[in-house]
Amino acid sequence: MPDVLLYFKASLLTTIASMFLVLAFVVLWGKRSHILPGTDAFELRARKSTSSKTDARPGHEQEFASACVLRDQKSKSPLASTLPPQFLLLSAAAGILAGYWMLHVEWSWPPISAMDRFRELILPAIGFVEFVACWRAVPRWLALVLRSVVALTIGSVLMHGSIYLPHGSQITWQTIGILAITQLSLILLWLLLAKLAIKRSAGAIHISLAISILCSGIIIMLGGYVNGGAAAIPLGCAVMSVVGATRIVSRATDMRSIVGFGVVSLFGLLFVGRYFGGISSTQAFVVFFAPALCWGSELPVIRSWGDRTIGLLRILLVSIPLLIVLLLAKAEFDRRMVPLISSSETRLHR
Amino acid sequence: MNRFASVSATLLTLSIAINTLSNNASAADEYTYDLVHSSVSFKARHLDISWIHGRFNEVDGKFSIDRQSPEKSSFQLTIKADSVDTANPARDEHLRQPDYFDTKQFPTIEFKSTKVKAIEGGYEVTGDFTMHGTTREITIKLMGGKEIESRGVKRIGLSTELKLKRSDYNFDKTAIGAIGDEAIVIIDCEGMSK
Repeated sequence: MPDVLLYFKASLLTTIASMFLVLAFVVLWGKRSHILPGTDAFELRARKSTSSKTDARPGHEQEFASACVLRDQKSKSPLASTLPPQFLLLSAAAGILAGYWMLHVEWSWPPISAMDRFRELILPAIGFVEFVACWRAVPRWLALVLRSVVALTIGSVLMHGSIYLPHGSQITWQTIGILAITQLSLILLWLLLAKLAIKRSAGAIHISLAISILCSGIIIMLGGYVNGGAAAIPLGCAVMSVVGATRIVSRATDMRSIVGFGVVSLFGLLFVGRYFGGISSTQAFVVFFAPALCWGSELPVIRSWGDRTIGLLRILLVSIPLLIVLLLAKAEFDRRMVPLISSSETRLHR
Repeated sequence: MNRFASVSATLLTLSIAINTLSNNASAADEYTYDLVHSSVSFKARHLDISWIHGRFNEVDGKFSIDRQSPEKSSFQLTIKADSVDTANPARDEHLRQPDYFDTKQFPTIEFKSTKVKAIEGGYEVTGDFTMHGTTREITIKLMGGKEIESRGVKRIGLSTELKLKRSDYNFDKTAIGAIGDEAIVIIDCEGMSK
């Protein structure tokens, strides 16, 4: 049975751990007199000493902070990220581990279930890839290759050893079709959000991803896979709290790593929920592509609105279909569980 | 003449030996699991106050029994985890999910004997029991073994009851609570041999 109090505790612990680490990193990073080469701040300091006044355009640092995810664009901003994106990933990772600890997650090696493979292989892999990809010394093509490897292998890894990809058996056309469609969907959403993230109000994209991850968790639980849904809680809370912490410190922080991490987390959860749990393809499709509705803010009429309004609009656009899917999932859950619950209540009332 | 006699004697001895060996090899009777007249059922505690009963509807197996050398007998059973049936479709669907049997990842529950010993009233069978991706050696007592012939088909009946703990087979420990850890499995098997 779902333990709501436990989930609340896990959310709280994840949020506190992630936010605390972000704030701690900001304070420690600000005190450092030596800045590591290869990071954005080092490049900017070097550039600052020789740059002209034309580089210091107002607002340019914000644009840099939302740099492209899949196409690492070089920027000439004089004041880019003051906190390396790797620290955001580390903070999120710490929060996620704390959340899983609170949820009493049992780690098994080698991983035996799809959720084990998601937690123990996919999440560390995407964390590592984003950690490396954000390093400016890493060439653009390598970052693209690493991300592509994750995108093209995640389905096979999650299905490994199951009825979809059994040991020693030939892969069926049905499985090939599933992997092709789902992984192409992952790449599509990743590209869509990456492209949008280089425009303004990138924070709303991260919040949309966090909301979608949490929603996917609830839907997976309502589908009958309680622990699978619970796995979403630390992920969603970590993304949300890292975004929140950067807002608190009001620093232009490069958050491009969070988009990739968030998209892959959302994909992994829904993939496991669909092919191992009890959620439907429609539910998985709607929840997965909901964040893409952030593109609604790019309509000509809306594009000229203020940053804050755009951000709120994006969150609203994403929340509407998620709410609909949630309500329908709850109705379906009530319909399926009523025969179980009502018969118990009938006996009690006699 | 003497040479002919000795060669004949050797050949005769060899043929007797081969015949004896052949007889020994075919002494075991092969049976297949008769799904119609067999059942694999289980019960587990609910809230520690009552029992929830269920069964598996798709089971397959075969066994060979050598009455002269019981240690040469063998037993094999394969249960499709997806066929779990507790007379409640919602609960059955829940049991198929990763919180319980995880039937998409572990589609079958299997038993394969490694050692058989004749005991009074049946056989003591030791073997590998695989469930939820974990294999453990268990020993069961198969009672029965009475054989009859019906409509040209030889039939034999065997029964066993065993206790298993879900926690021993890597089931999710957080899902152990309302439903007890220990389950009692009852196998009533009729094998047929043509």
